[in-house]
Amino acid sequence: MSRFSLYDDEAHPSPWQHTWRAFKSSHIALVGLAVLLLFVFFAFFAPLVAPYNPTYQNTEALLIPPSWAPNGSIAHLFGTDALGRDLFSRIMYGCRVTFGTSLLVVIIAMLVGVTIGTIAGMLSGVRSSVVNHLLDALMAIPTLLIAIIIVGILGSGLVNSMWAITLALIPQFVHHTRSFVRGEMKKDYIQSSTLDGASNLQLFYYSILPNMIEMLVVQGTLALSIAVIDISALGFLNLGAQAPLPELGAILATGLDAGYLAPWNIAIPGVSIFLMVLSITIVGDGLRSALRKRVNR
Amino acid sequence: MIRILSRYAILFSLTLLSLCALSFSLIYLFPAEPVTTLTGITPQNLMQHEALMNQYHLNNSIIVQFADYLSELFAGNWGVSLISGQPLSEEIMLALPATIELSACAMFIVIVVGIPLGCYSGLRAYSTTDFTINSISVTAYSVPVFWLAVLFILTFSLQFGWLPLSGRINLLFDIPPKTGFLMIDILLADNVDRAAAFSDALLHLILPVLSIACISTASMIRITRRSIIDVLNKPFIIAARSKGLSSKQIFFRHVLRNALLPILPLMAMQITTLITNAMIVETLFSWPGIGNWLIQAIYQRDYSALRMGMLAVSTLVVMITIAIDLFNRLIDPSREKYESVTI
Amino acid sequence: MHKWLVWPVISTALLTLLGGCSPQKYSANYTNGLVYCSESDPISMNPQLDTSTTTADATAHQIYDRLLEFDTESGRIRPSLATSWSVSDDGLLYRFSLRRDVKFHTTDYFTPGRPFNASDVLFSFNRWRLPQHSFHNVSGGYYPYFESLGLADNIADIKAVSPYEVEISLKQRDSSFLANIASDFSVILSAEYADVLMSQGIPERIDRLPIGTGPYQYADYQKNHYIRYDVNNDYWQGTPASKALIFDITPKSSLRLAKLMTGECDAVAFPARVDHQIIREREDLVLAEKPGLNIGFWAFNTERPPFDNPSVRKALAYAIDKNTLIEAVYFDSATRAKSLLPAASWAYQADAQDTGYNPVLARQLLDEAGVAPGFTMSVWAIPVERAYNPNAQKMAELIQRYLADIEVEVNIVSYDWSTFRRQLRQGNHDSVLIGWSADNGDPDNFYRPLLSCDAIPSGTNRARWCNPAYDEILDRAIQTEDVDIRKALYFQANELLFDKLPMVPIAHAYRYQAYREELSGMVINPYGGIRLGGVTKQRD
Repeated sequence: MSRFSLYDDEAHPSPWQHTWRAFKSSHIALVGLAVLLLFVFFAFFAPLVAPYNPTYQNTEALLIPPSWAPNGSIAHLFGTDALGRDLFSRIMYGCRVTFGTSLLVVIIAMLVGVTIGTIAGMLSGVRSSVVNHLLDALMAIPTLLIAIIIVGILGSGLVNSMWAITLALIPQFVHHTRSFVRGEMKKDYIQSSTLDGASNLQLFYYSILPNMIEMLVVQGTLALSIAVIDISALGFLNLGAQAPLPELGAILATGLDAGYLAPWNIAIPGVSIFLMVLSITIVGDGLRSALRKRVNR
Repeated sequence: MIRILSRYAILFSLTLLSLCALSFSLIYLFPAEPVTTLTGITPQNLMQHEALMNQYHLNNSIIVQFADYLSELFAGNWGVSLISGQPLSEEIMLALPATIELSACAMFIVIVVGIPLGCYSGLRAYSTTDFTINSISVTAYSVPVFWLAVLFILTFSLQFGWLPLSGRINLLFDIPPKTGFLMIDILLADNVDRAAAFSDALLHLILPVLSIACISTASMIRITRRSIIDVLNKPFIIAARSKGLSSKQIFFRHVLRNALLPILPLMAMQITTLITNAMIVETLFSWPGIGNWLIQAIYQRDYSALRMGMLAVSTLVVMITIAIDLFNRLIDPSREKYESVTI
Repeated sequence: MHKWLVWPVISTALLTLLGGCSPQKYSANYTNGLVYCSESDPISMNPQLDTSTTTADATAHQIYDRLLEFDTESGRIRPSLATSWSVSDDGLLYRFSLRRDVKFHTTDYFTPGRPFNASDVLFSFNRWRLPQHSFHNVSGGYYPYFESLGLADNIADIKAVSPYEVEISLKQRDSSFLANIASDFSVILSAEYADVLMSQGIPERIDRLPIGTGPYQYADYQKNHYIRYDVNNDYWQGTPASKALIFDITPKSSLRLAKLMTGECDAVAFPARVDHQIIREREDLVLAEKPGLNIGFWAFNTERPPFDNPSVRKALAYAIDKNTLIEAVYFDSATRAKSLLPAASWAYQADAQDTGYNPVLARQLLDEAGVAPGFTMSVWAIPVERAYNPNAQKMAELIQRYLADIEVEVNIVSYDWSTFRRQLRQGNHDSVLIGWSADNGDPDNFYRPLLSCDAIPSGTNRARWCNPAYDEILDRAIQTEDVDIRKALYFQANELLFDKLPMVPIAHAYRYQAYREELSGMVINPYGGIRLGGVTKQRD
C-alpha cells in the first residue's frame, strides 16, 4: 500500500532534526547555545557595536570602576583599565579575536586532520602504524611546549601562536578520523559500494563523510574549547597576541599589574573566557547526549 | 611478554631518536647562529667562531653532526645558557624535579579525588547527585587555569593571608638543592628545623597544586563517569545482576576494572594537559620549575636553553606516556577498547 | 542500614571541623632573617664595575665598606674604615689613618690570614687607577664611575706610609674628592684574597665570589632567583641583628607589592607609584619617603635665539604654574624646586629666589624682547620614566597649554631613548624636559655637570650655557674645604642662575621605600644603595 496520503502527512524528520529535538529538550544546552551565539555575534559584529575604539587611551579616565560600583559611570559599562581604555569595548574585541581565532584554528586543524586521518585509515599496513605512532608521539608533547618552540623559531604574535595550536589539535582529529574510517571500512555498506566499483575518493565523499559529520561536530566542539583556553593562555603569557591587540588572555595579563587596585580588570576578562568555554562545553555535551539519544532509539 | 617489552623498547628509542632529531634541527631553525644555539656561547671573533665550529664538527656533513650531537647529549655536555652562562644540565636538573613534584602531587589528588567521585557520579547516573557533581565538574573544567590561580592568590593570599604565593619554600630556610626534590632535600639538609621546613614547603605547595588539580580532577570525573555509564549498560553487567551478585560485588569485581581500563590511554592526554597547566601556573607562583624556566628563556630568546629544555620536557612526557601505554598493553591485550572511548 | 544517615553525619562532621579550626595567618617568621625583594639581578658582585642601582643595592653596603661614609641624615662625611683623615693646605695631599682589627669575611672559599691594612686600600684603588695593574683587566677592565670623573688622571700617587696610614696625592685640588671616596663605588677589596686567586689562576672570581669587610657575606646566588647572605660575625661595627639576609629577585612590581602584603618580603625595592596609596592605607606596611638627591628641570637651548636672551627665558618661566605641573605629574611625591640643590644637600638654600605664575608679566616680557605672538618653539620630552620626571610627556602637554595662554605655540618632540640622547647632544632642541640624579653628596656633582662650560662637549649641560663667571664661582668652591665658604659661594651661584635662568628648576622627587612595620632601622640613603646592616625585625 502506498504511503502517500494527502491528508495525513507523516513527518519524517531528518537525522539533523532528530538531533535538534533531542538537543532542545535539555534547557541547559539551550542556554549554553544562546550564550555561544552571543559570542559569535560579538565575533562578527564587534566593530559595529563597541562603544569605543579598544586602543583609544583616555588619560583623564584611568581605572574607573564598572558602572555598578559607586564610582562607576554608565559611559564605561565595565570600567576602564590603567591606560584609560574602555573595558567593555576591549572585551568585545577580545571575544572577537579569541573566539574568531579559535574557530579558524579548529577549522584548519579539522581539514588537515581529517584528510590525513582518512588517508591513514584507508591505507593499511606498516605505513598507517608508523603514522599512528608518530602522531601519538606528537600528541604527547604539551601544547605550551609546541607554542614555545614555534615562537622561538618564528617570533611571537597571534598568527604564530595559531600555528602552534593548530599543530597541537591536528593529531586528535587524525586519531579519531582514522579509527572511525577503519571501523567503517569493515562495514557492509562500504564493501558493497566497493564491489560496485567505487574508488576510494568516492567512497569517502559519498559514504563515509556523511556518517562522519556528527563525530566531527562533537570533536570540533571539544577542540574549540581547548583552542579557546590555549589561545588565551598564550596571550596571557605574552607569547601570542601582542599589545595592543585586544585578546582576552592578554587583557587579563595587563590587568594583573593594577590588579589589587582594580580587580574588575582581572575578573571581567576571566569571566568572559570562562563563559566562552563553558558555553562551548555545554553545547558540546548537549550535542553528544542528543546524538546518543538519537542513535540509541 | 618479552615481545611486547622489546616492541615498546624499540618504540621508545625511535621516539627518543626523533625527538633528538627535532631538537637538532632547531639548531638551524632558530634565528641565531647555529654555533650559538648549540653551545650557548656567542663567538666574539672569527677565530673563536672557527674553533667552535671545528670542536662541534659543524663543518662536516649532517650525519656526522648529528652523531656528534647525540654523543654530546649522552656525555652530559648539554651546552651553556646564552643568558646566564651556567651549564644547562645543572639548571635543567634543578628545575625539572620542581615541576615533577608539582605535577605528581596534582596527579595524586586527581586520582584520589577524581576517580571515586566519577564512579559515584556514574553509579547514580542522571540523578540529582550526579547532576550536581557533573555541573560542578563542567564548571571547573571550563575555568582557565591562569585565572583560577590568580583568583586563588587574590583570595587566599592577599585577602585572607592564609597561604604564601611565591616560591617552593621560604628563602630563609637554607636548603642546599642536592636532588632537586624539596622533600628529600629537607631530609638531607642539616642545621635546619625539619618540621618547620616541611610545613612551610607544604603550605607553599597547596595553592599551585589546587589550581592545577581542580581542572584535571574535573576532567577525570567526566571521563570516569562516562566510562562507568558505558560499562553499566553492557550485557554482562545485566547478567551478573541476574546471577544475584550484590551491587558492591558487581561494582568491585566487574564494573571498576572494565571502566578503568579504557581511561588509561586518556590519562596520557590528561598528563600532557596537566603538565601544560603546571608550566603556566609556575609563572604565576614564581615556582622555579621547568615551565617557568622555559618561559623566561623564550622571553630572553635564550636559544640553547630552549633547545635543551624542549628535549628534556618532551622526553619526560614521552617516557610517561609510553609507560602508561605499556602498562595498558600488559594488562589488557585487546586494542579495541580505547578506540571507542569518549567523554 | 540507615543509608540516609550518611550524608547528614558527614556534612555535620565537616562543618564542625571547618568551623572549629580557623586557619592561621601565614607568617614567614621561622628564622631571624631578613628578606628584601629587589627588582633585578646585579651585573656583578663588585660595585666598582658598574653604576647601576641594582648592583650597588646588592653589594655596596652589604658586602663591603669604604674608607669614608655619608651620614644619611646630615649628609656629612664620617669615618668608616678610615678613622681620621687630614688634608694638606694646598689640598693636594690626603692622609688617612686606618682602623685596626677589621676582619675580612671568612667563608667556605676563603679564610683571611690577616686583618685589614693599607695594602688592601692600595689594591682597591690601584686596580682601577693603573692600567698596568695585574687586576685591571680582570672582569672587563671597565670602571664607569671613576672613569667618568677622570679620577685616575687626577691622582698622582697612592702610597702606604705605614701598615695603617695611607697617603693619596692629587695633581690638582678637588674638594669633592672626599665625597667620591665615600660614594658607593669606592669599596675596599681584600688584597690577600686577590693574591690567592691570582696564584690559583682564577682572578675573575674576585668579582663573583666576593670578600669584603661588610656586615653580610656572600653565601649563594641563583641568577634571577635569589642572593643569599650570611651574617658576618666578626663585623667591626658589631654583629648585625638579622642572622640571614636574602635578596629575593622579583622583577614585577605588582608581585613585589603582593609579597610585601603577605609578608613574604620584609622590604621591597622601587614600589610603583600606583601602589603608594595601598601601602599607606594598610597598617602593617610603612611607606617611607624622603626628598631625593635629584632635580627635574626645563632647560632652554641658550645657543639658539631667542633663547639666548635671559628675559625671554624668564618670561617663559613665569608663564607656567610649577605647582600644577608637580601635582599632575608627580602626584604629591615631589617638592617644588627653587634652585638646583634639593633639601637633602648640605648646601641647600631654603630662601632662594624663585619664579612664580604670572602670565601677564610673561607676555609683557616677551613683547619687550621682541617675540611676537604666534611664536613657535619645541619642547623635547624624555620618553622614559625617571625618578626626577615620571611623565615628561604629560608635563610637556601641560606646558603646551600654559604657553598657548600667552600665545606661544609648542611642538612636543620625543624619540626612543637612545636616539633622543643622541639628538640632544647635538643641540637640536629649543628646550628639553629632563633631569639629574646625584652620585654623591657633594653640591659640585649638581652644579658642574649641569651648567659648566666643560660640560657642553660631554653632553650633560643640556642648556648649552657657558658663563665664565659661573665657572669661576664653581672652581673657587672646590678649592676650599670650608663648608660655610662653599655654601656662600653656591648661594652666589644660585643668584646668578636666577638672574640668567638657563633652566627652570621644577621639582625634586621623593625617594620611597616600602617595608613591613615590624622592621626598625630602615633608612632611605639618598647618597647611594640600601643599607640593611642595621635593620632588625621584631618577632612576636
